Amino acid sequence: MKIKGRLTYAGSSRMYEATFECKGDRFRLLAADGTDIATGAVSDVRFAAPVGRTPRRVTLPDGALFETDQLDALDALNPADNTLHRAEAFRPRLAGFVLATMLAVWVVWRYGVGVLVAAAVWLTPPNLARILDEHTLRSMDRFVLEPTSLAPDEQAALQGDFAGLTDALTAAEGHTPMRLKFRSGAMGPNAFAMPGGTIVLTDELVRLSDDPDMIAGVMGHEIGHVTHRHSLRQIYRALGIYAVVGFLAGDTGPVLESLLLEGNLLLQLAYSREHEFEADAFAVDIVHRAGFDPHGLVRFFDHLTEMGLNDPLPSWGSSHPSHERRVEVIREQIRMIGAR
Amino acid sequence: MHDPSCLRPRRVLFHGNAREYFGIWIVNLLLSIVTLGIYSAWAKVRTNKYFYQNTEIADRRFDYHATGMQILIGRIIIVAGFIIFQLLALVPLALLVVIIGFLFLFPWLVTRSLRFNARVTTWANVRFNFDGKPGRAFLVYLLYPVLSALTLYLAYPFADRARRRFVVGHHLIGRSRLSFDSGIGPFYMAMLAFVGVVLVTLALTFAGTIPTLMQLFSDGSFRVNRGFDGMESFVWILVRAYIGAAVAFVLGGMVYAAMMRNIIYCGTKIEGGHALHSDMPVGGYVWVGLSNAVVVIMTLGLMLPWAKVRMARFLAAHTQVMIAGDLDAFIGDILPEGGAFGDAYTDMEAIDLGLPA
Repeated sequence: MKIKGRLTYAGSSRMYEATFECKGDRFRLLAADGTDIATGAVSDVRFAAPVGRTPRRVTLPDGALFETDQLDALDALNPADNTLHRAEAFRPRLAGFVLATMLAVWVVWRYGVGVLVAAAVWLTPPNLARILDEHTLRSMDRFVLEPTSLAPDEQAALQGDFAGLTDALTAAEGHTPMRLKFRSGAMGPNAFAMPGGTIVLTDELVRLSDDPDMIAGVMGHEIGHVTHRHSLRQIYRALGIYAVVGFLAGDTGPVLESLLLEGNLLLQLAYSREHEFEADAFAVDIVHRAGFDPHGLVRFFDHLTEMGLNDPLPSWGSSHPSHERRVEVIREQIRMIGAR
Repeated sequence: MHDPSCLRPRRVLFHGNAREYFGIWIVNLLLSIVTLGIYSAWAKVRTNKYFYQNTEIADRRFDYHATGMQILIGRIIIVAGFIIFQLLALVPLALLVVIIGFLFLFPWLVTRSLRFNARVTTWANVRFNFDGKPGRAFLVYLLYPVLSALTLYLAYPFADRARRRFVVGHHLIGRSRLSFDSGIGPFYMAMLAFVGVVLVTLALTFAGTIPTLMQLFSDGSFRVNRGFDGMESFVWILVRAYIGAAVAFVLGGMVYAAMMRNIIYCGTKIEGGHALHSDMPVGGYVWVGLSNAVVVIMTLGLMLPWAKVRMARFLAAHTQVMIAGDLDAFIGDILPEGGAFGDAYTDMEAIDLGLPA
């Protein structure tokens, strides 16, 4: 079997016509004029793993490279296992690989990211989250928040209620020391929790009504976010997906890279429905344990609905469940507690 | 020296096709997931082999010789180093030591990465090499960019040119050195184009949000925003600003990259009198990049192989080698590659080494 091709010597770009010939376990490399260039045992020749329909290559013991476009002829001589190359061929069974890959991607998405997040949460030193809180609050103070205008005795009363709630936490729930801060400013009636246990109430929220049970309900909800480590999970989830997408997609070209990675980060940071329900449920429970009326939270939502303050984000960003649905779930839970 | 008027242009040819690469890509992806990422080192090698071996200049092909094991070991070292770095960064005093250590480590990693990648690349059985030193890399990758920031980036083109000179000028094919030179004018043109595209895009995206912003702040406070626990509409505005900025920088970045590629190829000479040339239309590059992104998203990623092959073909079609005489005279030696950790590092951090694709 004669295979026509081209020869380059080791470390030289000059190319010669050549013929590669195999007889038994011996090979011969012939120049265009028929003279011998090299002979030897086939086992001393290194066959390059075939990739696609690129020219097939063999390297001789002295580093010379023979290259041919007679792909099948050379592949037939290649003693190596070419399972990978055959698997890559564009045949109907490739559809099976596509399905398997989609399934695998789904599994990674559904479970892999969760495992990564759990591991990262477990590895996070508690004071790191606290430092994070301080930085975030400082920059929010600079740009969006203003100092509170609540009277000191008003603040003290709320701090008292807050302490009542945190005292009711079990040791497992109180893994992160929590602090209550007051601010006012552009955000309107609002409350939020940060991963390190900092909870912020706005003056506008406190002034919605002088119903301590209602404010306790809101505080309980935020304590729930901290106890369930929601914000930390969300940050890690976003980063985890960022890493997984980056790793799976590899080099995707100029536009897609930013789109996939940064767009995804944004989507993941949007609030999650499950987290809100979880925090609501926790609020009802902790408020009840601390001796407040769990209906306060229901009154809070009714209040918001009355004021026409429903979910302000349209369509895709709307991951906050509707007030009616939340109230329904909370009422059901209160009924269960009452029955206990 | 050959008379420049005698240079014969040869186009770079790319022979890959989407169908064939699709098979390689999907098998790579599946094996990478199933092995929890370990196979991705081998997947990288196989992908590079496919693209290099399908790229031809003057009847000779490129090849990529790194092994999956080299890449994997490099990645493990870098990931371990990264974790240690993160842990040390939590200790206030150690942080300072870590930062200073990094200033020394970074240029070294960059030169190792360039050297590894050069030495595992061949064209016509002749290896590339890179002989840049970390000291110089420190200047062009860290010090000059920082200094140019002090001039409000007005001097950035000089820093950029120094970096390209370093990267191209320390590459060798066999024993023949590459060199890059260019006037500073084209660099300023590219930067101007970047700034122009970014500003125009930002202006267009923000024109739409100005009425909303005016309304929001009209009575001195955010009125729309009132979600319990939410800050949603505040977030929403941030999201829009972010998307606008991202679009602006992606577009500007593409225009800059396209102009830069032309500048670098047109300014690169190879010892022996040869030269490179690129006549890539900027609009064409932006079009291929954007339409690729749209198609890939619409097909949930399944057309990614097609997009990559299309881009490779587009780049090859606009790249030429200007040959003085013939390309037979390149000779070189086989050199040890060294570890792949530099490559793993620049890979992971997505550092733009200044190598034109």
